[in-house]
Parts: sequence; C-alpha cells; structure tokens
Amino acid sequence: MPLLTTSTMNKLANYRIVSRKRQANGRRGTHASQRFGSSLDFSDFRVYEPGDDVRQIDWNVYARTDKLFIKRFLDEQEMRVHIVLDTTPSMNDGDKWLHAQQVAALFGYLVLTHDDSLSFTAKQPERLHTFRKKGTMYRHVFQAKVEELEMTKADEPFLSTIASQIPKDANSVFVVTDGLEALSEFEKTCQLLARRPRDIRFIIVSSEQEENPDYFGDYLLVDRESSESLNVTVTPAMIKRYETTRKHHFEQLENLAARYGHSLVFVPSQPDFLSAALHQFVRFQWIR
Amino acid sequence: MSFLQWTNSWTLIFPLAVLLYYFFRKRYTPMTISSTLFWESFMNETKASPYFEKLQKNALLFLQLLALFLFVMLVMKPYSPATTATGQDIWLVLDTSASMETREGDTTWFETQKTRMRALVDSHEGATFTVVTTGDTPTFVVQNSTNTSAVNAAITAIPLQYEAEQLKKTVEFVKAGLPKSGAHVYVLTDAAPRDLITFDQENVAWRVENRPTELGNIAIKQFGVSQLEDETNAIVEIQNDTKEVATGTLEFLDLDGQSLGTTEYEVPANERQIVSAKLPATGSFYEAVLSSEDAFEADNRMTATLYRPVLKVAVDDQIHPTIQKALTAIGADVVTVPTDDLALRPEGELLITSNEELLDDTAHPILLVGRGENEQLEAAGVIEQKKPFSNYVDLSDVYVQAVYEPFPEATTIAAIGEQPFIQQFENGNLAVLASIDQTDWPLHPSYPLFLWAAMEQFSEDAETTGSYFPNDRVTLASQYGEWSIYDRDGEFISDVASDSTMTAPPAPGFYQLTDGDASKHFTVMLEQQEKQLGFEKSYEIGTYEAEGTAEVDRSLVPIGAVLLLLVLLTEWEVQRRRGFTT
Repeated sequence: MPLLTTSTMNKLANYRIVSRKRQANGRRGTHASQRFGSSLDFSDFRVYEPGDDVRQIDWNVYARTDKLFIKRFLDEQEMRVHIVLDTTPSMNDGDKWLHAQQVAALFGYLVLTHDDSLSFTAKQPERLHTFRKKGTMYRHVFQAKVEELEMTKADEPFLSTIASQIPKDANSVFVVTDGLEALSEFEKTCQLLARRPRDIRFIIVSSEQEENPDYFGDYLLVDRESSESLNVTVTPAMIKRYETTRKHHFEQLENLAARYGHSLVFVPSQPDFLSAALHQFVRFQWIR
Repeated sequence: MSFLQWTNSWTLIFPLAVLLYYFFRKRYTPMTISSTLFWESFMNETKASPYFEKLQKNALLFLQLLALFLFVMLVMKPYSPATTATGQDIWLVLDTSASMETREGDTTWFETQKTRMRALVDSHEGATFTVVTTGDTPTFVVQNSTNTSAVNAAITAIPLQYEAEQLKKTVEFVKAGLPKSGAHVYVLTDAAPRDLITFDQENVAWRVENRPTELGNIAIKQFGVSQLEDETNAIVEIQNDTKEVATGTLEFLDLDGQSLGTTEYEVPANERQIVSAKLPATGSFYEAVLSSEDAFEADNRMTATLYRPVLKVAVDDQIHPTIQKALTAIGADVVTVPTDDLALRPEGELLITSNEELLDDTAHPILLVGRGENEQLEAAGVIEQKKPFSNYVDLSDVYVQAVYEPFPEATTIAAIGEQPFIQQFENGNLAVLASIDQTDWPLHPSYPLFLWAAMEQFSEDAETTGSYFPNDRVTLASQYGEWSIYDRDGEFISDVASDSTMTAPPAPGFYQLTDGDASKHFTVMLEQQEKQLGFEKSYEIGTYEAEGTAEVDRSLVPIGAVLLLLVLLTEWEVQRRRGFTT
C-alpha cells in the first residue's frame, strides 16, 4: 500500500517547503538571502511585511496593484534537504510507524517535486540506509524505499546518532521521531546540531495508545525498546499523572528546541492523518 | 510421633495465609507499550537515599534474614516477666446444693455466684486458684492453677448437685488442704451461719458470701401414698414460709407425666398444712406439683412411691425347724402353719414347704425345700453358682450329702457338679433340692442370708428399687451389673458398676434402670434440709497477707509468631513485585 495517497500527492503539487532560514533571518537582516547569484530567475511574489528589505519590493507590481510585494528569486540557495527517520523499536507502536513513514515520504515528495536535492538516512539492523537523489523521477522510488524500512534492534538510541548522519552540505534537516527519549539526550542533540547554522526541524509523531491509554487494571508494562518492565496498577488517577508527565515532557522538548533555534511540530495520530499533517505543516509555516 | 504442644497448632494459619495470599495475589497482565519512560518517571518518584536504595536492592535478602532470626528467637521461647507479682493463694468454695437454685431475675443464685467467682479470678491475675465444691464428699474442681482461663472454664462447667451442702464437712476439708503460707478463702453459698468457721489457723482469711435478700419459700415437705383397695390415698404436707397466704392448685402426675387429679390448697403465712386427695390407683409412682410460684422451684414438686406391704412368711410345720429360726433371726414376719392350712394363707404370703403340690398354687410365692419322700441321690463336690442370684449368698463352703431329682422345667441357680441344688421356676418360685438335714447349711451364714435374699426377691416390687437422695452411693440387692440409668425423658445418665453399686443422679425426679429388656424405676428426692431457705448476712473472718511475689512469665511466642508471619508476607510481596523467577 502506498504511503501517500494520490489525492495527497496531488495536493502536495501545490505546496513547497518554506525555507525557514529566510523567514527567520529576513527580519534580522543577517544572511540576507538576496544573493545576486548567477540566475536571477524570477520565482514568485510574496506580500510585503514590515521589516523586509525595502530594496526587494517590486515597484512595477506596486504601480499596478498598489500593493507591496517582495520579489523572490530563484537563486535562493538550492535546498538540500536531509530527512532522518527514527527506526528504533519504540516507533513500532500502533499507527506510529506508518505515520512516520508517511511524514518522511511527504517531505521527500515535496523536495523531489521541486527539483531540490534530497538525502535520507535511517538506521537499519546491521547498517545505515542512505538515499541521495535529486529530481522528480525519484519520487516513487523514494516512497518505495521508505516503505521497505524495518525496525532496528532494541536498545539502540536514536537522538545521539543524528548528528553523524547529516551530510555536510545539507541546509535543512527534518527529523522524524517520537521524542521518547530522555530530555537530557534531546538537549545534547539540540546542542550538537546547533553548532552548524542549519535549519533543523523535528516532527514528533505519536500513537493513539500513547496519547490516550485505554488500559485499566493491573499490568506489567514492558518497554518495547529497553525491555524494562514495570508493575503498574492503572487507575484513572494514574492515567492523569501519566498524561501530565507526558505533556510536561513534550513541552520541555518544545522549549529545548526553541532555545537552540530549532523548530518542532507535533503531528498526533488521527484519522485522515495525511491531510491533518499537511494542515499542521501549513499552520506552522513549514510549507506553503 | 506425637506433639507436646498441640495448642500451638494455631500457627497453621501461617502457611494457610501464604497460600491464600498466593491465590489472591494480583495478576499483572503483561503489555508491551512503546515506552515506559513516562510511567517510570513518576513511579520512581521517591528519591531514595543511597542507604535506602541499598536496602531496596537487597530487600529480599534482608527480609529472609529477619524471618530466620525471628524464628531462632521463637525457638528459644522468649518471655517477659510480668508485673503481676502477687503470690496469692485463693480458694473458692462453691455450694452446689439445691437451695442455690433460687431464681435471681433471669438467672439463678447459683449462676450469680459463679459469675462472682469468675470476677474474683479475673481480678486476681497471678494468684494460685483452688476451687472446691460442697457435698458429702467435697471435691476439687481445680487445684493450684494459675491459668485463669482454665479456671474460669472449670467454674462455668460446675453442675448443680442438689445434694445438701454439708458445709461443715467441706470447711474441714478445705482447712486440711490449705497451704501453710495461708490463703484467702471465699465461700460462695446461700445462708451459711457465722458459727460455720472456727478460726484457728494463721494467715487465713475467710469470706462467706450469702444471699443478700431473704426469700420466702413454699415447699412440699412430705408426700406419701398408700393403697386403699382400688384407690390411692395421697397426703401432702405444704410448708408456707412466706409472709402471705399461699393458695393454688396441687396437681398429681403419674410416671409418664399424665395428670391424675388436682386439689386446691390454701396455706396461711408461716404455717404448714396437710392436704389429702384420692387418686386412681395406677402403678406405684406419683408426683405432686404445687402451682404457687416462688423463687425456689425445686421443692415445689415431690415424688412418692407406693410400696407393697412387708412380705409375710408362712412356714410348713413339717419342714426343718432351723428355717423358722433363721427367719426369725432376720426379723421376718413368720408364722408356722400345718401343711394343709398353707393353701389357705392370705394371698401374696411366701410359703416355705416341702410339699411339691403347692407349686401349682398361683396365689402364693413358694420356696420349696426338699421334695419330701422322693428319691435322693448322692452328691459329691462343691456348690457352684450357675446363675447370679444374690450378692450376699456364698454357698461354696456348704456340704450337701444328697440331692433330689431336679425339675426339668426349672433353671438351675446352683449346682453340685452336674446335679442341680437350687432351682428357679419361670414364675419365680424357688426350689432347694435337698433336705436340710442332709446338709450342714444351717451352720453357715449363707443360710439365713439365702432366706433373706429369697424374701427380698419375692417382695421386691417388680417396678421399683426404691428412692434415694441425690448422689447417694447405693448397693443394689440384686445383680444389676450390666444395667444403665436413664432419666424420665430417656436420656442416658450413667451405668451401674459391675458390683451392682451405683451413684444416684443429682437431680430429683423419676429414673429408670434398664438392661435393654427389663426395667425398673427409682426416684431421687431432695433432702429435707434443702427445702428450707435460710437467710444469713455475708461476713468475713481473719486476715491474709501474701508472702513474697510470684513471677508469672508471659510468653512472647505468640507475638513473635505473628511478626514472623508479617515478615513472610512482606517477603512475598517484594518477591511478587520483583517478578518470580520460575
């Protein structure tokens, strides 16, 4: 079964990934991306917002429409996107893995459709799976590759391995994970990744059961990854505490990411996941 | 193999508890979830100090060590010297006579005194208790015991004996048994007078507790019945010891409790009166019951037995003269009569003769001595008892030279070798198959005894063996070795001893002696002195001081055992949480 539905793929044709660097830096005025590079291909207009560089206003359009627009040039540095997918066993919970694959496929599709360079890594048992291609013809190949992936063995951490997987020339990194690692690990990873000025984006997926545990009674909870077990008598009060802890954890993830200048979006499990995910990414202005 | 302390088998509760715990333990269903990260974070919130953590890790080991250590301690039987350090000797004497059974509200004075005894026991923890009951032979219920629960149990179990208390005897009995170090004696009775105790012992305190209130009593003092042709004449003497006139109905019952008749009575205060009534003649047993309600009910009924008149004896003048002499010696009512006049004697008289023809006489019991002119056979040997006849007749020394031919239809009671000597017919008639002058029997004590026993046999009421007082020791005349005593309702009371002695049951009433086929009845009556309720004030004589202290050690074993159980359960719980390694 294909990860992306045809309708999704059709929708995706109208979107492209927003280069965050530009958005974030545009206002500050650093790394002005109006490099007057080799090609001055006119790409698109966008609405003027206070703080944008005045030099980039297209006065012709203004004359005609009386509205301020900024010209965008194709010499925006070619996006070299890297996607990292978490393949630790904790991902294999309910629909989580499927959704993670779908997210990876989604961004891969977007990147390849717009002729940007896509690289992809995912740890597999015994090896590291890599993919590096550019061009629309590889869209379906990429999807197939993602679909084939399987889980790694237990007890292999994920976050600490990210930094080494990213190629040096990537300027946007999308990390698809479930965030179920200690906050200290996450902080370390954020620190590490912040060394290079890159656009790091985390996509946190989760499963229905994680969000709303529906088990009540006496359980021996076994961790999928570490195989640690815990005897718990699950009562509504316990569920509440669980939810509070979980919420706190993810809040902390968000804070940490923001502190180091990274972006973080949650895509919870829900029916019609792809449309919801798309909607979420649009909302957070990752894609437009 | 047996066990010294069966009482400690309550510890079986330990393995049972563990077993139950196992069956009701929580079963945790294993479930794999993506991450226990969140669960763990708040499950392990107790930030333990390093020592505590070490304890937790080795919890199982520590618990097992603790359990074993406790076990070692228990085996050494720990005890703690208790603070109750009074080496008191306390004697409790309980009056078990009938007059103690007066009604006190919902209970009786007897029970009230028992409650008082238990209270005394409970309030003197650590003392040594001895409990004695009254009677003709005072008995120890408990002797020198410090176990209060055992003493209390024994007190609760003491039955009312109805026997007159014989307090003087009991007091002498107690005095003889008191320890040299003295004691505190409590006498719990109803109306013991001040002069009961002569104070001649050192360091002995006596406290006599009598009934605090004076009670009026209405009693049947005497009840007699006599036969008047085809009616029975009943005479009852009623004593009214109350301040009011006693009126009511006197009812007469037979052995089965059926009413035979009633009569009214009216007795003025503090007087006695005789009431008579005519009853239909049914059997030999009668019971008279007063309808007045007073506090003491046991004396409101009495039984009476109709006795047959004393057996008269008529002796044939042809018979050996020693017979008459022997009968006179034992005090029988004897008359010598010519042979032909014997048949004319009044009905029921015992006839002693050698004339065989009289055996057909149904109006009189017959004792045949010799068979007259019939042939005699030589006898050689010792007389042997073939059938039990009487406890008092021992024929082994008697020499018999010749015997007559036996009667084929009679059973042999005594024989010489193969030849019968004494026989008994089905109708009870006896035959001595020898002529007295052919024996040396008159020289033996068994001669008059035999005649007496024969008389007793004939005069013995087929129905009764007599009336007795409670707890009387009685030797029954005939052989009742295998018989048992039952009460009026058919409840088994006791067995007669193999030597025909029995102890009369304590409670007044009708009883039945039976061996399964034949049965006889007897009655038990209250003694006259028990039909009066006296009134005396309680008093104390003498002082007592306990010497020294006695240490009662309280065993800590039960507490320790419970602790051990708790440790075992904790161990179990810890193991369960850790997961069993099966």
